[in-house]
Amino acid sequence: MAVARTRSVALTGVTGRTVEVEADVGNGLAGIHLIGLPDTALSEARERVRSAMVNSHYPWPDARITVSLFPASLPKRGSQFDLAIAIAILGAAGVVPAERIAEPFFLGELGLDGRLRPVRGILPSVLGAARHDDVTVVIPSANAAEAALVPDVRVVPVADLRQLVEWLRRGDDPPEPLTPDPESPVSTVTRPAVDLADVVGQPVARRALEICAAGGHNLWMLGPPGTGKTLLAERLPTLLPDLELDHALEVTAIQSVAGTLPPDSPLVSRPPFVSPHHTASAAAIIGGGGAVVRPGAVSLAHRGVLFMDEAPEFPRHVLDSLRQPLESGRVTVSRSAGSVTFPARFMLVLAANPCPCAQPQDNIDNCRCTPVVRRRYLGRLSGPLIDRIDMKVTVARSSRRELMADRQFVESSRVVAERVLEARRRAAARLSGTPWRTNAEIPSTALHTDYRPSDEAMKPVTACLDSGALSARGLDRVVRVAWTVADLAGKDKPGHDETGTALALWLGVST
Amino acid sequence: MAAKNDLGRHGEQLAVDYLEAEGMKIIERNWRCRHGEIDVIAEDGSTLVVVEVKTRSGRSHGTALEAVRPAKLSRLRLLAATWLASQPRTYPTVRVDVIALERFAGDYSLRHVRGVV
Repeated sequence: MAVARTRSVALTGVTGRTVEVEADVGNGLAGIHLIGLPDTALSEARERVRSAMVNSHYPWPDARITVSLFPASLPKRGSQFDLAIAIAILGAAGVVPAERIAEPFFLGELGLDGRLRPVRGILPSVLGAARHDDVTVVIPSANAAEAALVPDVRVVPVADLRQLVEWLRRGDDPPEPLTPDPESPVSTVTRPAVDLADVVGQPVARRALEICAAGGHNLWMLGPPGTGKTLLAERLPTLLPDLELDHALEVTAIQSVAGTLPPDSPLVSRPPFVSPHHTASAAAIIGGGGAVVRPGAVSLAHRGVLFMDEAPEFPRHVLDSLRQPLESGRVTVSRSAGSVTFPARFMLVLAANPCPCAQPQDNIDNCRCTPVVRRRYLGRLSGPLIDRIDMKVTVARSSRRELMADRQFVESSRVVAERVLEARRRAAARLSGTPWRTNAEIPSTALHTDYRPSDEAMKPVTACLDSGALSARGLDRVVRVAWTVADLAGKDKPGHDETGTALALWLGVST
Repeated sequence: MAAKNDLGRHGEQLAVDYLEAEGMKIIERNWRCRHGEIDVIAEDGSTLVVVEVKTRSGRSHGTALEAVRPAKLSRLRLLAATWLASQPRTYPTVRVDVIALERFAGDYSLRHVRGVV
């Protein structure tokens, strides 16, 4: 009998995949059967779709209805298929012309009265649909602003089922067409009210922070409490430039899946700053969950900063789980429901006290920790993790005289951010034609072929490699930082001074 | 109560008339056992047909056809087996049909769905 076909999008992680929704209204006992690996929320679509159709005054076919979602092997979750299921049934029942619904994508949850409710993950879903040419995506009007961020897609926001069906029947232009305007995306995060000039007395750490921001490097700050480690880390986002549009879309897609996107201003254009508490579990950091795999802190910090305050207080396995994303820029979470890969290219900033008692180190009487206790405390930061940190800085307590003297040297975030932006432009110009934009992203092979500093400049580094103080990975990281220091200095290539600085920052902390 | 029963009985009579017009041989009506009742048992050629008749006076409480739920169908299966066990003869195939009757403006619409189990 009558079969109608339409399309929707299923989300795996932050990747949208096309799902075909077919409805067959045919002979047999009246009832609706939903096949194609639905989860509980999707199985309940039967009830929602039925009520929504009846309450929108459309006839519910008194026949056997089979709804099938392709590809059948892909697990499908959530309520965003409601609209596609309803439209497919209406098409099979002959209420809307079947040829009008075959091409567009339909996304949205139906209320019992036929109203369309907003759903999570609209941006990655529409991005998934946008892989096809010349697509129309029908979405709940509450999600309109988020969907409009995707270029080259015709977005049709609708308020309820009736409005949509009337449009499909008439076949004219969509109700209140919305043209995407990628030129003026609305910024979500206003710049925080903190400034680098607040941190007085830590010139070395401020400089390290600037290099970190310019090259996208990782940073470890070691020092007693009250010296401004947390203050410094919190000011790192103020030094970072706005996200470019494609990166902003990546970040927004992750936040959309996590459900943390503010509804009024959909595009996240500032780099995120994520600071998990040290009791966070590995699943909270890496991502996880039972039926639906959600992004963890490393993915929420994608293209931004992951700050781990009191790093040695984190469980060791949580810290070591950071090794994979630090290396590859993405994280793969495997659960019974399947494996999901999330992007996770973040700048890691660690802050640590030198010992559990955290008393001043300079006066030996104050600290009661034995050498064994101190070793064990910092030993929780495993060697392989430390090996992936580009820069290590010791933050010491400053005297009153130092504080007063440093006052005239502090610069506001705005001034430093301009230097960072300039350095990033230099790096981007050099890396144009490659998929990388910051020095931290350059892979090892390219680093040794296209971006190798002169032998003269490499002298201090190779000496350290020979003596065993530096691993092969450490060498790569030193060279990357050297490039960033050269970018900040406005040089074309890192020289002896730049590699020396990078090496000093690499060796930084002696434990 | 009586009106409801009358409606059901009237519907069953209409269904039996229809089945006979379709060329089926009615074997038994309203056969009961401790598990429940089979409305009509008929023969369609060599096939045994167990028929559930559902009559509704209107659509205000849903259609007659959708009122037959999976639980009812599995019970019909069980009843068919129970009935067959009490019979001397066997059938090569057994079928469960549903006949749905709905009253519209004094007349009845009839829908016959064959082989629902």
